Amino acid sequence: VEAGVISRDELDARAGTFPLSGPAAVGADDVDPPTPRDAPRFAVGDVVRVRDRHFGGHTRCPRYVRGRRGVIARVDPAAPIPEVEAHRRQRVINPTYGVRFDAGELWSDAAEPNTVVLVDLYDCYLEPA
Amino acid sequence: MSNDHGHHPEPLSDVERRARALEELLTEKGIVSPEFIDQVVEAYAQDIGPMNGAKVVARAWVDPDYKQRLLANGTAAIAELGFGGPEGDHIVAVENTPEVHNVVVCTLCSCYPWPVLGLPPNWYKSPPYRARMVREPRALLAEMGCPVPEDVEIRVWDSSAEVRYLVLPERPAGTDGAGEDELAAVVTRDAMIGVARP
Repeated sequence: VEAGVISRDELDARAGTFPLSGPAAVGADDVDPPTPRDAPRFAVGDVVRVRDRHFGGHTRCPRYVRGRRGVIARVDPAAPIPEVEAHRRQRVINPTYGVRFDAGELWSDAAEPNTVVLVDLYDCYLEPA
Repeated sequence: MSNDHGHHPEPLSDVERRARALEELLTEKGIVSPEFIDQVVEAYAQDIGPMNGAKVVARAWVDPDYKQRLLANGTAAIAELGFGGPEGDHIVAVENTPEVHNVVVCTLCSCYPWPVLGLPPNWYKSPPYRARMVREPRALLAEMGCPVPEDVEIRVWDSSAEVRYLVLPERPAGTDGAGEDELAAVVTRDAMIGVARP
């Protein structure tokens, strides 16, 4: 619908109502100018913090880890930055990482003991901690 | 059929009507062909599913060298058995042990290792599973019939980028003499997501 391949009216005409997710009106300028990066900035064991940015458009940074501290557990292949691909229509790659968070860092006193959560994150979501 | 003679098909649900509207529009506009949709549906109904992952797990249980390769490079080891394709470019296998229980979720949508598990079950895509598995995995696993003792570490893998995860369950006790096919038959989809044990 956003790309104009199918219209909202066409969908409604056939399906009764066809609720759409109604993405926020995010323009290319709302996305940080991308920094292409091949080489990983972080290594296994590095302590990082997830940037605490709240962005209205498409992102692959789960809200529950923003602002939280974790440890790089795995360095993964580079991939296109989701925000840039969605809103600037560019493929700019960034390394990705598996980042380990203690449950206590995420959920404070509600955390279950002896539990960790590993989340896969793009380089640009992270800063050194 | 639940009705009398099958003359009156059940009315379509909202989701079915939306899927049909999309399919009709995309085929009428020539963007996808009906044959393509049929091929994809057939492939995932018959050829691609958890039976593939079960073969990988069974091989890892009987062949320590294979297991080592699987844990070092899941994608390559899985390709050795002929499996790969969409949502399978970067598969990481994580091993359950007496000390560690692994479980997989995609909190942002429904990322899942298609070449080895097929398409995800509905509960895997449901908001309660996605929210609770990262917040209270031990409680949720117990509710799902897979209690994990307090002294066993739970590792929750949120597949939020490019990697897709396959859990390598512990080989059940009493299967020492079993062959690979027999072992594959005890490996369930849920065990390879980490919400059950074989």
